[in-house]
Amino acid sequence: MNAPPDENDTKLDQLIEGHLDGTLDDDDERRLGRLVAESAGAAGRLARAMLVHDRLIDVLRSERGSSASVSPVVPRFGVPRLALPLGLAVVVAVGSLLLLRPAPANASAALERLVRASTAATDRQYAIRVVDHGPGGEPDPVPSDTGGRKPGVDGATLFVRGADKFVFVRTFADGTVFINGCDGEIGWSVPPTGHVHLSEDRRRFRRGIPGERDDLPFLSLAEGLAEFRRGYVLSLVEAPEADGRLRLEAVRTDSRHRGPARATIDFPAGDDAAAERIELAGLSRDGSGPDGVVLELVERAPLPADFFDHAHHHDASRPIDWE
Amino acid sequence: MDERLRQVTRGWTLAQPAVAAFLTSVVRDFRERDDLLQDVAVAVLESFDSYDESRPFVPWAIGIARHRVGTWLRTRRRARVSFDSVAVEQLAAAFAAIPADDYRRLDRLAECVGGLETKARQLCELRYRDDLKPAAIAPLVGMTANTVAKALQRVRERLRECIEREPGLA
Repeated sequence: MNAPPDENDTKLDQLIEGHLDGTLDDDDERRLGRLVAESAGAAGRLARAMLVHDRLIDVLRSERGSSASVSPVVPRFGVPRLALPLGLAVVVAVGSLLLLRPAPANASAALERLVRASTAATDRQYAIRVVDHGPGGEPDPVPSDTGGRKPGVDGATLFVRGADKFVFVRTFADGTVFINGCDGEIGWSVPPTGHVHLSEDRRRFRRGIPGERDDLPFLSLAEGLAEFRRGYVLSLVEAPEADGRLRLEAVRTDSRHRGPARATIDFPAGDDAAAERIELAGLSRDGSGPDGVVLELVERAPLPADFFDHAHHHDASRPIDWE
Repeated sequence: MDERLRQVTRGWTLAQPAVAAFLTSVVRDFRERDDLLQDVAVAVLESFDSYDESRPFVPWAIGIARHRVGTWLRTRRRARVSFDSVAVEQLAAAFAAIPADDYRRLDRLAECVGGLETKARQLCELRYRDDLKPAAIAPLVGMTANTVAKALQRVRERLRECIEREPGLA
């Protein structure tokens, strides 16, 4: 029988659990590393915790395409466990990927595939176009970074990586840019000049954009797509214009829902369900800001590793304000 | 299949769970772990002529994995790498010392996962099948990142208890 864990064991276990989920900060990771280096007991404890953690990767992947799965699957290009001779294993792996390729059985399944694809680590770049400026009509261009006004979203560019990293670039009439984003942990905003603003509230700089919506719904694609799970009627059709693409249409049925009234999402019918075109209509609930926008996927290429960090977008000499 | 290939296949089947878990403990990123695991499998196959059959296979395979990890650590030079070479040595020794029965118990894990309720299973799928961290899972399930991390911890504890309950091996 195991003895009751002492305080050190409890702390070690907390570090180990954080290590398993990648939630430790650098200091705690180093602390765990030191404990493992100094103590065979700590190393053994981590090794045992790792057994279940590691096997779960294979167990959950192997159920890919199973009807028992809670949510449909976006294929990843990981390779299953190699318990066979390598050549045979590769044949099995390739065959498995082909045989288990899921088809969107219905609109809900398609939505889940879109949500998961939007959380993939692949870097994507979307061009944003306003197709309906709403009751207020097309706003005058914002000449420059003066008076607290920020540029509109028409012509903006959105870069996304995974579920929680984005960089949103809008341009003033004088060609300077206002950039805001999130590195997954910190929300930030970089105006053309002056202070750079950082906040641990990742949503902070998605709010309070004068003349536009309070919270732009498309800055987190994963979150925005997941919103269609509730309060919307979904239908899946073939996209009218492009070969092999499908179209998911979502119509809001619950007026209390804050999302757009309608959405149309085009995506490939194959393995990769990354949204290629997203049209959102009925965005403006109070008559302000654009009522319809289109996001077009224009690039899927790796961006620099630090692209979603604020420091990538300004000189090191700029003053920083934490909010 | 010739005898040599049969031997290495048998040995690798035994060693692979330990090697995979060892790699995951150091590398953490699931896709990089897959790549390294393939590298180690190839290295095991290529080095099999140097294997002394009087010695246990699993520590030998972990030794090969340890060298591969050492190369990986030197080439990546990542700020987020947690373990230095001493820690990696300790970990390799710890995995090599785990009794074979503990690895066999893991075969029961799929059944234990099948017994999870819907929410716990969904969290497992998002974490392990889709390789998402708690912060990325949170908006998909309507929870905070901290709550997701705690829930995942509880699920793993339950799964460890579940595989320990296997009749005849406890």
